[in-house]
Amino acid sequence: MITASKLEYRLRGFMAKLRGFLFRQRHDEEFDDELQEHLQLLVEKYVTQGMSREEATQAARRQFGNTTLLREVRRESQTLTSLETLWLDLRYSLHTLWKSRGFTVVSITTLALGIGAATAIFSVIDNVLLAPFPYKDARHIVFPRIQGTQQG
Amino acid sequence: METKKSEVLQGTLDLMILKTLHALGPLHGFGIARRIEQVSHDTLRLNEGTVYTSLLRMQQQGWIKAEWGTSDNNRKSKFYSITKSGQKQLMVETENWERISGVIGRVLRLEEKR
Repeated sequence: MITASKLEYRLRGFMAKLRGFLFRQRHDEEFDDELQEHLQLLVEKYVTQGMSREEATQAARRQFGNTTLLREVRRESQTLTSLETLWLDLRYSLHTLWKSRGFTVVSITTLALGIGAATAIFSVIDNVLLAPFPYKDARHIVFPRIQGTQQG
Repeated sequence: METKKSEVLQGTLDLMILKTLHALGPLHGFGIARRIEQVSHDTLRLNEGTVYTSLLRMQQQGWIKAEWGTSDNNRKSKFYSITKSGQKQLMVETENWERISGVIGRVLRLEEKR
């Protein structure tokens, strides 16, 4: 029932995610402990109600619900998922490049030469064919010539 | 004998937990779940794990805060308590809930007119 101010609510949620992303205060283990503790207490409760340990454990799991899903929800609520994956991808690719340095050097050189050559050729073409004169709208420059004024 | 249980309405869990913390002071997740179970006389079907989703959400909103403490049986656990802004939120949500349930109540009491 969120009515107070949707914008404020979202903003706060976003800020919490941003904090989580920047400072990485996850406390994942603490959270796991908390859940385990809760499950443990539930088991004990069922045991005192007369269930066997095994039954009680199952009942507690049923009553508590999906812990993996819960961890997932928690993780997602504590970080900017898209930025997080972007960062991981970036790190992974840098790592891969570093591991095969020969390949990296060759590809960077190829790219550098290719881009350099293309730029050089384009500069030449641009100056010679496309814009040979250093004036604005050079292609509209005309050569006026007067013809046929000589009288026979 | 299986009694019928209702699902917890979307969003009402936050309100229930806020009220519980307001009424009883700091509690851990298990305590909150027990209290809700007790108050609802076992008529609510609640995956207790969802209590933690709600706690997490409300912590992010600054309505509750968590502190480590020792429970009755001398185990370390996390205790949640309501904050100032949480109390304000509780007032707003309570009013809102009463308004909505009032409207629904009136609609359902409408006599058929033909």
